[in-house]
Amino acid sequence: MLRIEGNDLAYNCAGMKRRSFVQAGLLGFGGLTMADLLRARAAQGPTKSANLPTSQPANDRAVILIWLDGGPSQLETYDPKPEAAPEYRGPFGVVPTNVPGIRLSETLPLQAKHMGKMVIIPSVHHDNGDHFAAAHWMLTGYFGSTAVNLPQMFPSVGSIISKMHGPNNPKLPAYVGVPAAESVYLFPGYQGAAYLGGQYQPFDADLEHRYLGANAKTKIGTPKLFTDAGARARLIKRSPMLTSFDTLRRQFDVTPALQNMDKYQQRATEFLLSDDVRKAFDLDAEDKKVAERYGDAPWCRYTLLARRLVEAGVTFVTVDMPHWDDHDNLKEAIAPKCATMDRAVASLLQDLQERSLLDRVLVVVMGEFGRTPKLNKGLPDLGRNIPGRDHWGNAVSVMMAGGGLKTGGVVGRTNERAEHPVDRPFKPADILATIYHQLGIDPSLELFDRIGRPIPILKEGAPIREIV
Amino acid sequence: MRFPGVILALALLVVSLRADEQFIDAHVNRKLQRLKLPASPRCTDSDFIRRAFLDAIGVLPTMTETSRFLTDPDPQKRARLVDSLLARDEFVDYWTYKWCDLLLVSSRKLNNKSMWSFYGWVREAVLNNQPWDEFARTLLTATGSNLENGAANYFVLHQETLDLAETTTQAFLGMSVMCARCHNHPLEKWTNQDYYAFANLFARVALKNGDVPGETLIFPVPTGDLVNPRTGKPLPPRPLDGKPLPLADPRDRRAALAAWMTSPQNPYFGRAVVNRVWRNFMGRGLVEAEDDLRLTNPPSNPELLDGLVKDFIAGRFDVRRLIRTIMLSQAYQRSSEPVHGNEQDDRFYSRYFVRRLPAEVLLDALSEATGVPTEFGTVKARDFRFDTASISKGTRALQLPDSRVVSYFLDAFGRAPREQTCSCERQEAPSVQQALHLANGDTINQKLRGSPVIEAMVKSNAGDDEVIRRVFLIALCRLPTETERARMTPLLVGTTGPDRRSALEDLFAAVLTCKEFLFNH
Repeated sequence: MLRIEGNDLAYNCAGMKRRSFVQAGLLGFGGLTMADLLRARAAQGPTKSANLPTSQPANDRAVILIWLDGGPSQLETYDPKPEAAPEYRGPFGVVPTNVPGIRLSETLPLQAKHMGKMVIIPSVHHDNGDHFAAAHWMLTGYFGSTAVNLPQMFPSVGSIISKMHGPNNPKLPAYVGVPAAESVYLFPGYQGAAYLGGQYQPFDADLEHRYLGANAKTKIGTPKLFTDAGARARLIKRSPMLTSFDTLRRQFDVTPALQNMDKYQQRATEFLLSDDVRKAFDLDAEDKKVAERYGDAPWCRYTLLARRLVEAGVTFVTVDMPHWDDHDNLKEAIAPKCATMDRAVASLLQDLQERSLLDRVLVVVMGEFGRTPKLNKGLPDLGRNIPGRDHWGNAVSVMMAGGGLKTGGVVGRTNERAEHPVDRPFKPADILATIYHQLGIDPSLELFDRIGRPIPILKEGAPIREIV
Repeated sequence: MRFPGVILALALLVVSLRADEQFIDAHVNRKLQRLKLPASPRCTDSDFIRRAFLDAIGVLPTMTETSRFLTDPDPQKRARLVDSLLARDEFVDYWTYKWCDLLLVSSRKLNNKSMWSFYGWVREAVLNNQPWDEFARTLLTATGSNLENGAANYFVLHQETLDLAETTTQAFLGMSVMCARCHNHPLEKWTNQDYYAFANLFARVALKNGDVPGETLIFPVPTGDLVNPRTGKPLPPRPLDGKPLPLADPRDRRAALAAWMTSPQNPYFGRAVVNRVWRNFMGRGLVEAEDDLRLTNPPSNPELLDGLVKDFIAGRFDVRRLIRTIMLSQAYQRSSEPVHGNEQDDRFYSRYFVRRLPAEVLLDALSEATGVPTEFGTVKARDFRFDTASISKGTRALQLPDSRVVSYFLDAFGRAPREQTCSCERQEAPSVQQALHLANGDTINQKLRGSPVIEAMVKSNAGDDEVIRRVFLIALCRLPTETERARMTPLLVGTTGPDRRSALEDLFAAVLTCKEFLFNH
């Protein structure tokens, strides 16, 4: 198995690490081609040569992850059970979709018209009801972090794609959080890079507006980083002065860290002054008609920004839509969230189709877990007696769309009360393996953790054969 | 006849101090000769004062300190400077921070009171220059209330026997025994048996809640054993390479562990800390990574490491003395500029190795240069289970007791999160995020906008040359070259009032983000 250097920081200042070299050498005669070896070397590049794409990307695919933080109910979204008893069925009915035989919760009428572009996978399970463990599992494919051991243990799908695929446009970052990457109110939470190191963390687009709910009235425009004309002028004035210093010239040639800092400073300036970057993040410049379709809600505006970013060449965008933890008052609480999310996703799918980006952009909608199929009695301890649903990791619905998948169907099935899979059960790793597959990344590749242990990108799971 | 004895002792001390510096250089130079590596010349006084301040106490010298040092004619001024640094409060801050990184002092698992108690204990030890063996012994045998005895928090942080065994070897012996938890490694010394026998030394520590909230009592218990999962049986507790204790012996096994560990005969204990301190000043450990001392990862100069350890033990595990010895060596005082023939050297100390300032040092240096302290707010927002640590105004980054105090800057520049005992936690490499933050982040811009140093320069009507001179002295501890002055002057020339202020902010921004400022050299 080909091993790729994971941690650029800890041990190896000397280029290729002995262990991975031996690994490549041993396998060189059986199965490992020269191209693989060169790829291994290219992937080791960052130890000396910075935050560049680690290898030639296999394709120009991109991912938009709509992260429903808190855990949305499967029954009120993609896995409704209209025939179940009322205490399971919940407060909503269903709507037919444009694919005969597939119904969605009536909370998602707009997506129902795009079912042909979508795949629903209702039979994902990790059987864990801890927000932290579940979020980590869904976002990394591994059981690792938990509520009592919060730090991220394995790298997120976005960070791995950032490392293994790089940006589709080298002027743009590979991995962006909109407005900021988040899970279970940690930033970036389990959307971070863990042992891959800082350069594979998401770039957060707008740190000023984060964690907004579905009803927030905040106006979302171009992030401040890209509108502050003063900052731009300052940078144009100041950056040439950085080369005005006489000393350390000779040290440059012998100190990779100095060279790297220099390169990064140039890249940072380029990034901040780049027209490509500025245009990509310039949400205010979006076509009015398109913007109107998405509407003014922050979640919808963020989704529109995500589309601009992948169109311009960002590879992985995570859109944060938090606050789905509805332990009580389900009907009132989830309706506006579903409505906003529905409009965002439906507008996105239509938008991608009109721009012929549907094949190139994979949309994934998910949260950390589903909800208890049987309605509870609310939170009586807090004097709130209207039913909601609690944590449920035994049946998690994931929606995927576009991205070259075979769409217009449902893979897997839960029982009549959406309690657990009865057909084609999947683990989170299967979902991630499908994503990696569509981006041309081999999920069995190993990356090194901080102490030099080789850890496969995924240790289980396979691309879902019905849809890839 | 006590008086002559004292004289003799003093005389011997002087001789031995001289000898100290000399043995380092003898070993380094012998190695360089053998490898035919030419050494770079002695560094300038400017380089030295900046380097010595940043490496030993983590702050920049003030403009006055720099000017005074540069004009001081005394040939012994470098030694005098080193001695004065070792006596400063910032020295205590810096080394407390370093050992708190090592011991994972943070509010991640400790409540606020416990964290402060642990921090206070480390700080007290550094302040009193507690010998390193005593420091380790006190920590490893700590008992009682974790609020009264800060060291006891080590056992609050590490409650599992295996975690204790692994963390202790990593922290004090600079090596990882973790691999042996599951298997014998064909190339390494410690076997699975060694591992479980060693870990059993930690099997008899117990905890219970104390009288006040947040208090935990640590005490040894006379029974209980760790079972080797392969055999289902406990092994007699045995230090690595040491003699086994009887399983039935009811005494606190940690005392035996601590005695073995800190014994002058223990070949690992001294090496581990000497290598850490050496790396702090020389930029690269004699063994690299600094906590990866194992048979198959030999030092770049074994005689030097042996010599340093021997001297360290002879000096009764005195860390401050070790620091002084290193700083007075020629090896530490070389220029960072390569000479023909030593460009490729990255481990034999033929020159001073350039490195980026650590996150905390850099942030403090920015505060100091601009005269605007960093305001640290809260502990990370998720920490609803613990009280918020109160960080008083004017606290420098290196004075923070807790790695969880929110700071985008410190995260971006790779402070150690203090989650696992490993030197790899601290990220030393530059990154695009760092560059972005320097170019356009809030940290520098806010400091520039609020800078009383800049305000004073505007108000004082200081001329362009004088202003440039001061900025260079403050940030780079040197005077500008003629070319630099010529390049900077057009920025300032003819400006007054708000324009002057803005031009000065630009000048500061350039100096505070240039490589010469960001790196120690």
